[in-house]
Amino acid sequence: MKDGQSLIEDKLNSAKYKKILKANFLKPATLIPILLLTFIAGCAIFAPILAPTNPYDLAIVSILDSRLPPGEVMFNGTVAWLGTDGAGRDVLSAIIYGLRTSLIVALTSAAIALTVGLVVGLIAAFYGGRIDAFLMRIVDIQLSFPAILIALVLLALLGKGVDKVIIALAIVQWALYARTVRATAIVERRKEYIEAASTLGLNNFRIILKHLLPNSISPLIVLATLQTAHSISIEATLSFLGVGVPITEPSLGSLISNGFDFILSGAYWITFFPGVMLLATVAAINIFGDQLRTILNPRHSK
Amino acid sequence: MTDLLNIRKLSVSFKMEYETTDAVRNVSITLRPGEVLGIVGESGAGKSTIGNAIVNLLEPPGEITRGEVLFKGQDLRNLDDKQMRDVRGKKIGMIFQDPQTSLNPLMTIGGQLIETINKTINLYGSEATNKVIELLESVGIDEPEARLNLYPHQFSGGMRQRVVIALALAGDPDLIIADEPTTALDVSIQAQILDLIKKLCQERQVGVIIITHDIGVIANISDRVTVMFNGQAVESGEVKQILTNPKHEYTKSLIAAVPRGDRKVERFKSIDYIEGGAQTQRRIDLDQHWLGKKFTQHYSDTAISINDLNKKYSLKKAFLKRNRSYVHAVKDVSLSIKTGESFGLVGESGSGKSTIAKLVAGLVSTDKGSIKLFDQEVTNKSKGKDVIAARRNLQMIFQDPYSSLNARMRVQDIVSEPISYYKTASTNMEMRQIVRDLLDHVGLGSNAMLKYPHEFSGGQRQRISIARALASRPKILICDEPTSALDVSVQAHILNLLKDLQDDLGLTILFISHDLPVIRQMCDRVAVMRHGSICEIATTDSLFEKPQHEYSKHLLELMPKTDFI
Repeated sequence: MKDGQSLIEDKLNSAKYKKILKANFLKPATLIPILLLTFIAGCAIFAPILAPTNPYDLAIVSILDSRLPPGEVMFNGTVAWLGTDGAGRDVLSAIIYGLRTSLIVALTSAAIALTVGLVVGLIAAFYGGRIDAFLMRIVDIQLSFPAILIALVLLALLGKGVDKVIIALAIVQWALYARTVRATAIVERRKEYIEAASTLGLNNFRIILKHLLPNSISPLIVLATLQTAHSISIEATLSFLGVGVPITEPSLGSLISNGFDFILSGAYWITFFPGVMLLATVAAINIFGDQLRTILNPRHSK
Repeated sequence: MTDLLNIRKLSVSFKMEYETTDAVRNVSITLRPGEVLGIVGESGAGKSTIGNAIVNLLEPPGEITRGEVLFKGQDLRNLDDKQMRDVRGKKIGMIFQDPQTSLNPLMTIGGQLIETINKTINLYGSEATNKVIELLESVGIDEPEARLNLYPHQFSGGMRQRVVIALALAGDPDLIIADEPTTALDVSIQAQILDLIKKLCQERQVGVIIITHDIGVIANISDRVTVMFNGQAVESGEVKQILTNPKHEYTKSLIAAVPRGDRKVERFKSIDYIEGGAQTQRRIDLDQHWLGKKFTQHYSDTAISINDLNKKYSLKKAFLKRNRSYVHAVKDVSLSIKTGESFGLVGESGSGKSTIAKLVAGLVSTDKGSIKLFDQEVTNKSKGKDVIAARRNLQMIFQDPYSSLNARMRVQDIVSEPISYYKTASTNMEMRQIVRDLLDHVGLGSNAMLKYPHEFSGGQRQRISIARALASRPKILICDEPTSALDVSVQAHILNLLKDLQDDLGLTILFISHDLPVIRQMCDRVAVMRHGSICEIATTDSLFEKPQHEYSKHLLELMPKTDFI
């Protein structure tokens, strides 16, 4: 039987699906964002190794290095390829470390929001009626406020800190996931396999987990990618406004805001390079998300 | 008389990125004015593709690779888009399957017809309106003046299909292509629409091509027929000759698979031409096998007893009672089904037959009345142990094989779910063996275990559904239109399988269908339903021989005649 099983599995894996997947992944529109994202993620993960200096180490930050233009040599001998900021920190190193903070905040908050939204959306779709109406009105209320406004209020209440930004971003985003998953799940809920599962006598928890969830999750994968990009921007905005992550753990947003004071005095690089990095990251994730949507399209994945 | 349409050696293929499908191969068809040609075949036979190829409406990447389409001596393939549009509106009319979607819901009936008339025969103003009224009258719509300003949703399905026919006639076409024109309609309306098409065809000397899967429709309306199989025309000729004396093996098997309404046969003839060779179906010895274990228990003689059952669906919710409105889906229904019997529920759409199935299966709650399974009251979802145990005796086979299986689960997980959930097998090995036996038993083979549902055809999926239902060792099986989404040959296989299972396992079957011949072949007793209540309960033979109730007589008269076989 073992041979038979593996034979069938081989056949399945080698089938058309793989070909289609390959053809889609080899397009430049997919390949370039993937390479860029790999590079960005690599930078974030290996920041301590890659960065020329440690921007958090106050002992090596010298005020004498402040506002050096790109390419100048710093006091301790390293070249500041992208210049230094007002406090004398190497902008390149700060970007690499800032990327780390930005990505951690975005990914964790997206994961939390996704989980909460998934649970709420599935429950609303499965039980329907009053439960659905109640949960969806909360979602409506949530979505009727601008995300940035809610985040600002929350952070004003919670105070500063990476963990608080993550909580604020999760609260801002869960409603969108909940609404998306409900829309898919409500269609799936009416299909006969759900009725079949309940005639088998399965309990609701199992029906939701094993039948409704796997069939409703695919639109969320794309949404989650796009929302990660969005939450990077929100976090950057919050940090720019000064309520985001603390200055000791700068993110891309706080770096941009940090350099804003000097932009009129000609030290453009303090703001410009973190800005470019933010743009590249968000754009890469967005394009990747769009491609993922094409690849995961039911017509292809069939 | 010259030919109206002459298709010579037409081939159509769909070039996909990784493979090319030849949908139509070398098909030749001729049609004279005033003649009805039927194109019959099962899904995937290429019959709709021919229709679309004639009017150049092939969906990309489909294209005509060879052959010619001569319409009144002119090759339609040489026309550009603009000329083709003229032909489509003025010379060739199309009637599609679903009258719900072929009319614009935001435009009035009159508006849609006037728009078409403006474009096709350049009549405007009151002349156009008069023409519309005349058209609507000719398709049998009463008081057309009053109905001009109504929207499609205010019409019934049959009326809408009449409007669609009027639209097709608006440009005084010479040819009408009707693609499954009555598939979405009830039998009584089907008969009317077919009569109408036939009448119009003779009155106006229009050529009609009817594309359908239903031999009954062909027998009733067409003069000649072409049988399609796998992209090829396997046989064509006069209807009578083809139906009574088919030459080709495929035609023979197709006709043999049509359920007969006039008498009951033991089994459908084995037709191995279609579903990939003979299917070995293993019998299970109940005394030894896991499937039989539970049956040693004692069961009472009445499997399902329904008393005074009522169900209303609310159409309009409102705070005040007088503003609410309901549809009474099931009205004072009482019936009892004996253990081991197969009981049929028959009726047209909206008669409440599916609602009864859902009520019995506990999928919707009852408003009034009681349902007992083996003397255990199961009405409404009380969670008692006895109720759950009683419910496990009952399983359901659904209508749509495409949505009744979870697409994200492997077949083995789908079938084994009830076994693992109730822990009715001691080890994983045993469970896998049971799944293998079940799949063998429904004629699928254990190769199916590791595949996903989308790799199977409709008939095979229905077999998976049946295996899943059997895995919880039911005593009662509710089949809600189990074969109405399937081709006739596949339907014959599935119905045979259900009969075998009933014999082997002693199942009680509640069989729901709108299809009288199928009911005749499957059931011991039948209840005829209309508007939520039962008109007549009788044994199948006596209902079909001597119907008592007016409505039963009416239904039986409309039943497609199959006495040609």
